[in-house]
Amino acid sequence: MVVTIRDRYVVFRVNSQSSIPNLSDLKNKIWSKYQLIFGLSGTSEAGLYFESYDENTGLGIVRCTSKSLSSLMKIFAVITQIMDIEVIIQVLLVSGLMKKVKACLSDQDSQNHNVD
Amino acid sequence: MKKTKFSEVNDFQASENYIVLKNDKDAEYYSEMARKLQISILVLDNITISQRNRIQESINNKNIDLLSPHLILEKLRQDYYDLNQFVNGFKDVLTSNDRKKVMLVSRVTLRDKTIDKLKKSLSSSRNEYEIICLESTDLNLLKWAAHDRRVDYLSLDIRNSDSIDKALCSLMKQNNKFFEIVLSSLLNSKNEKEFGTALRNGKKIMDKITSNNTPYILTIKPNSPYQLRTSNQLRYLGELIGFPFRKTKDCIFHNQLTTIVKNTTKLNDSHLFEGIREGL
Repeated sequence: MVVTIRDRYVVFRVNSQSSIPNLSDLKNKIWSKYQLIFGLSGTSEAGLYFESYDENTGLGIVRCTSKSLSSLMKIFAVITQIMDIEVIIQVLLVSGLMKKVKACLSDQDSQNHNVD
Repeated sequence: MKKTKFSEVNDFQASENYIVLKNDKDAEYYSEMARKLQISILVLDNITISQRNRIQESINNKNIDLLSPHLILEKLRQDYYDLNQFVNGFKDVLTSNDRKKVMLVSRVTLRDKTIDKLKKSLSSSRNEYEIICLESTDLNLLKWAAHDRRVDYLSLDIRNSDSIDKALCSLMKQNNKFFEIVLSSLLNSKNEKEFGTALRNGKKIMDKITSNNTPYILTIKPNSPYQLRTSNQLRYLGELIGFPFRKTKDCIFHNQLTTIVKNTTKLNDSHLFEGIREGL
């Protein structure tokens, strides 16, 4: 039987104490925490891929498999610091459709623009 | 189509039950962050009701609408009579569309080592705080407190699994009291060994609690506003130590709110005893 692996797109925002961490620091933190908690095998099965990340607003999209979504959420909840800067990674939307995710992202961008 | 658990990400009913303030200014930072993360209840540790009111008046931030349980109760008491109605009324007020509202609640955590000392502390603090919690490793003391109507929660740190047994779980269930499971060790562990210990002991606690169907609540005890967690993040952290995601829905908001409403009603001037009040 053919089993299709479905993807999920997670829109997140990094709220930070001072400057927003860059993509490579964020990636390193997420990968290292994932490996610590779920091991190398779990990390490889997660299918993590960073679709986009804006270092000015802290908004980003990460792709993972539907089975590993709850693990990714746990990792986001466990992370408290990136490069000694206190952060919260807040999940804004989970969807299987890229169109919805992009709409959410542009919505958040316009909200930020209005606040500024 | 059947809803999956992941569609609930934007749920905005959450409560942080154990905030230790270093100074009064901290309350504003916590409230600001709570508004961002859509957390509607902040429970401040070791702050009396009058101190809480003073802090609330001192915070002058247009973005946040700070409320106290007493104020909401005064608004609702003309229309509602029953506890469930009050709880639903509180929910409606807190989770209305503007999402600016944060309720500040006062609590105390007692750490007495003998029953006599605990009795004295309880009698002195029962009218000063909205929530009374006990933190101890002495099983006999915890079993005594499980019978006492003034104690609301027994606080458990997931680093230590020895302070709980089957008999205590059963007592807690009989008396309808909650265990407060503090998950901060998962965030603050200094190395992998500490993190592993927290996971292992947390799973032992979870086994004892779930096998007896004992009621419990989940909380973080944050060191800074950046350690506050949203409702679903709390549930995911709970899932990390084995609490099933689907069974923790009430443990992040509803159980806490019910306790707060019950105690606020008790502390109200017109309260005579459960179900009966003056002036009707």
